[in-house]
Amino acid sequence: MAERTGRMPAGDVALREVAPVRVAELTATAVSYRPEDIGAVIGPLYSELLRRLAAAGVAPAGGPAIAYYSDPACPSDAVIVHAGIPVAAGPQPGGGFSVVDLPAIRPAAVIIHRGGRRDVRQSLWDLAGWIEDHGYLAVGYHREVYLDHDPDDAGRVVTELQVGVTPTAGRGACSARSAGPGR
Amino acid sequence: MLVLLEEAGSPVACAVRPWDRLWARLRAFRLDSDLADGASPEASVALALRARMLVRTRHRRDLAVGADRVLAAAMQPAYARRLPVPVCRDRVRDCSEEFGELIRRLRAAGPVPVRGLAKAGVLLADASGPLYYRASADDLRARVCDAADALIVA
Repeated sequence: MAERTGRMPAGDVALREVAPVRVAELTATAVSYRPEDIGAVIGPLYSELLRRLAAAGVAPAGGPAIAYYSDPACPSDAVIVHAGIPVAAGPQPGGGFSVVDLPAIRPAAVIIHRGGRRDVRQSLWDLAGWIEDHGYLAVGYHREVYLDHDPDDAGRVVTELQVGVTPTAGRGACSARSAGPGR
Repeated sequence: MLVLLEEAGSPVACAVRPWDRLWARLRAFRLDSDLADGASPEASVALALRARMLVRTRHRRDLAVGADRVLAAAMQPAYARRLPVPVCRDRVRDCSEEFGELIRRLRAAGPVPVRGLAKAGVLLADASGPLYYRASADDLRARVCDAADALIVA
């Protein structure tokens, strides 16, 4: 599906803006940011989110599912996993899920990962290397946009990995200009 | 590779795993902010790895070059177009002497505290800070002086 949408091939990193999106989401705490720890919680989260959306009569808006991460209240190795599905609806009191407007990322370094979560390290290494080589710093955790998946084969997933970046100013290799308000 | 962490007041050698290196790279800006705010490089493997990267000669030189470009962009409009993100030129011009001192300290010979390098890095990379963001209430002169002062070995 991803290939037909004209997105970039796996392995290439691009710099672009990511548009804001509204998602319904459930959250859980993973022991760490490591793929195996995230994988242990994110599958059940999506199953439960879909069940609750259906129970609330909220239809997904049709875009790909999006997972993102945040720090827990108390600093530790743990990470909060947010499993989101785009929706058009507003907050649903009593629905058992949150509705969140994810902000735009300006700019984001993005890469297509093909394969299961266990193999995501290499794509993240490629992304981290590109970010440093092109004079940027990564800002915050990455987002995962699930472009395609095979329900019968968890290893056949196409995921766009997005990391917000900021120029380091010292390297200046970037040709894209952020919509910064400075004058 | 090993890094030294501090646990209960005692140094402890901790092995670095490949994931730790990746984590430190993907969390670079956050780790820089933590170090700038006074976090100890011995507090975690990620902070230790990031601190090790910050004190490299190449990184320090890059910071100096970056600060130099910001100053040049503020003083000469032709340079402004070379920056990936436009800076608040008037603010930089107002504290050009302090910026010059920051650059001198980044270029000076000898070791400097990692906290100062982290402060300089965050100042130059924070899109929401006073260098780039017009609505930021932070005082750019104070931030530049703070970073420059933190580069002095106590």
